[in-house]
Amino acid sequence: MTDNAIKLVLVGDGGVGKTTFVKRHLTGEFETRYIPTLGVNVVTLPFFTNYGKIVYNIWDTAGQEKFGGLRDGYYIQGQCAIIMFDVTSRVSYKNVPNWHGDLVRVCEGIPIALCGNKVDVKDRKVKPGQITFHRKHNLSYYDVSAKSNYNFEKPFVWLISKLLGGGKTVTLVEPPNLAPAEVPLDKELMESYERETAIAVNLPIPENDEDL
Amino acid sequence: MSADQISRQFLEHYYNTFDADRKALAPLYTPQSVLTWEGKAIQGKDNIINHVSSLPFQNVKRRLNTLDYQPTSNGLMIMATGDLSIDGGNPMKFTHIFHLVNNAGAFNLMNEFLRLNLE
Repeated sequence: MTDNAIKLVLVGDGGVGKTTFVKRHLTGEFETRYIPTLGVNVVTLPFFTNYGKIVYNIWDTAGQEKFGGLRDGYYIQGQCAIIMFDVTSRVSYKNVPNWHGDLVRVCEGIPIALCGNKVDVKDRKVKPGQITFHRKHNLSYYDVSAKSNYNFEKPFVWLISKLLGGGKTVTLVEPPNLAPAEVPLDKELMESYERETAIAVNLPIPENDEDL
Repeated sequence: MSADQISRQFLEHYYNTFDADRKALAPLYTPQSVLTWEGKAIQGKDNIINHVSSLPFQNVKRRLNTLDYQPTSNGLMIMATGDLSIDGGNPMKFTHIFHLVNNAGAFNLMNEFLRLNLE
C-alpha cells in the first residue's frame, strides 16, 4: 500500500468479475494486502499519465457481498469508485442503483465510473441502449472485458481527470502492465456496441430503471 | 447425550447440510423460526430457506475456533465463532448463534444469528 494513493472503492454484485478485473493489472499482483478486520484486499495500481504517476489503492471485497451488504468501513474515505455489473446478467444491472445508493450515502459527491463487464461474451443481455443509469447520476459508463483487456484503463483515466478537476484531459504516457488477453476480442462487435452507445446518448432517459 | 455432544453433532449436521444443499436445512425450521442473517431478519421456514438458498455463492469453507453452549428451559443455545472463506476468497471472522428447542424428542432451530465480524 502507498500512503499517498487514491482510495478507489470497487463495488457490484458477487460474480460480476471485480477481482478478475483488478487482477489483470500485473503490478497489483505483487502489491496486494489483505486486511482481515475489514475483509478487504487492497490492490495498489500505478498509472503513468501526462500529469505524472498516479497510484490507486483499489478496495476489493473478500466476497462478503455474496452474504449481504458491505459495511460502512468499506466505503469510508473512498475518494472515487467503480460500480461494476455483468452485461450477461440483468439482475446485476438492476442492482446498480442499490450499490450507488450505499456508496453516495457514505461518500457524497465522489466521482463514480460505471462498468459493464464481460462484453466479450456473445450472449449479451444488457444492451448499450438499455444502460441509462449513469446519465441520471452523472457517472461515466464503459463497456469492459476483463478477459480481453478491452477498455481496462478507461475508467481509471476518467476518474483521474475528475479528481484533478478543471476539465483536464488525461492520457496515459505508458500503457498499463496487463496480463495477456485470455479471449480474443471481436473488433466488429465492439465497434457495433460503440455505435449503439453513441446513438443511446441522444435518446431520452426512460423514467423507470427497471424496464429491462 | 451431553449438551457438549449435542452441540458438536448439531453443528456438524448443520454445516454439512448447508454445504451440500442449503434447501435440505428446511426440516430444522418451523413457521415461527427467526433467522437474522447479516442484519436481515427473516421469519418462517419457507422465507429462511428461500433466503439462504438464493445467496449467490458456490461454496463456503470454514474453520471453527470456539464453541460455547448453555442449556435453556426447553433447549440449548450454541455460539460458534471462527473463520470462513467464500468461494476461495480470503478468510473472514464470523459468529453464528443457534437456539434449539426440544419438540417431542427432536430439536427445532427457533432462533439463529449469523454475522461476519467486519468493521
